[in-house]
Amino acid sequence: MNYVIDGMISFNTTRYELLHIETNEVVELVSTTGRLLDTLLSFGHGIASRDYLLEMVWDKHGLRSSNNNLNQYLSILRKLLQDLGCDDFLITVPKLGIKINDEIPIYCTLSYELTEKKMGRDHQFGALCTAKSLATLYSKLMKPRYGRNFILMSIFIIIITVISPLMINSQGYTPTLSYKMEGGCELVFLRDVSNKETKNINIQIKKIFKEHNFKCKEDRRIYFDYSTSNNTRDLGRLLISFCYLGNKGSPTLCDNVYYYNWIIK
Amino acid sequence: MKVNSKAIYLLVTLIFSIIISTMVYLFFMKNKEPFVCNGFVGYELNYNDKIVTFNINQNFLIKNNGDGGLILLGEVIYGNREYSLNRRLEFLNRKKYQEDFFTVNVSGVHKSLSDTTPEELFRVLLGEIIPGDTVISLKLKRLDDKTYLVKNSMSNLFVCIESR
Repeated sequence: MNYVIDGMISFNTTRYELLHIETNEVVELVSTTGRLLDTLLSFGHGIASRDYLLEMVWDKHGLRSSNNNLNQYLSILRKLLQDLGCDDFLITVPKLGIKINDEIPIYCTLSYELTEKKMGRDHQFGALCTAKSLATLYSKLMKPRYGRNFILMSIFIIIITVISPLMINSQGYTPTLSYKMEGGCELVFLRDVSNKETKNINIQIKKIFKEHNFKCKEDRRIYFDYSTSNNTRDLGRLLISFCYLGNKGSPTLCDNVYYYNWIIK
Repeated sequence: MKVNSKAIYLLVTLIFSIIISTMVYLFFMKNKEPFVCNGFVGYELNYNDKIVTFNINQNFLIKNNGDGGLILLGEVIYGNREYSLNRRLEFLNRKKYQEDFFTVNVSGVHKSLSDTTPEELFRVLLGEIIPGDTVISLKLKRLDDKTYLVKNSMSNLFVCIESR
């Protein structure tokens, strides 16, 4: 657990380290000093009796306690904190015990590193150090929290898996070969044709245009294909579609002509 | 083994997303309107070494359950005679192999009372649309937003515009 003293000094109760937050200066405490500070901080701004302190810091750890020892370590603590910029940290209350100065704010967190990682860099330190607030803080911190990247990834997965069926449902367009003819209409071959074929076919297409009185204009598109023929005199089954384009550039009406066997003219 | 809570969360999110997306897909498939595509075709075919011309409006329909049909409405010109054509090919049990390729069983050809086309001439057209016996393999190729090419195993039949 971490205590933050006066908003500028962090005390780690596991490592018994004092950290000056701004300068990053670290002071390691001996275990007795650390236990003493930990015990005092656990009272918040309450009064800790001398007997209690002697019991918790020395007796319980098999060490010999005495008031002189206590006074000595209290003095060490006062000096350490003063050196780190916190004056008048401890107050002696006559006949009652020792307490932390009321004017020095004490906050606690479970761990400086833990909270920074879980709550983000700009988090404010947790509640005042009461048992209830500590329990609340612990439960808040232990709740799974996920970084922004993780949440974005989850949203991305959801979007992809919801959208993908809709994408599967919509067919793509069949790739075709097309070019502009004289007059501006677009001629689309429904399969691959060689350059040599294109030249011959163009002549036939123009004849078909003439036969059907079709005018090649910019708002028109011709789809063309023929079946493979076994001789050079005809193109076999031939389909030509004269399509009229709408405002969006897509066909709105198509007139098809299907020849059983188009003889090359 | 310590369970990674983030991994569990991701897995649950993924499973939940798959369930939702499946429901969305099924909803769209179930509520999909029938596919209706229309195109005018002038067929120039051959019968007894003479040209027979079919000028017809073709309406191609495929329902969600796989049934559908092809409506043929127009005129037939053979020699110096003209006939009216009004027939409906009915499809059943569409088997879909890919998004745009399927086979249908032609369950029947219905002739309207206004149809005056002789059967032998109609069979010339039918032979082009259904090269096999009663089963057609049809392919729908999407050329543009609402423009489709309908083709059978032998040739391209016509380009139609989808009506929505």
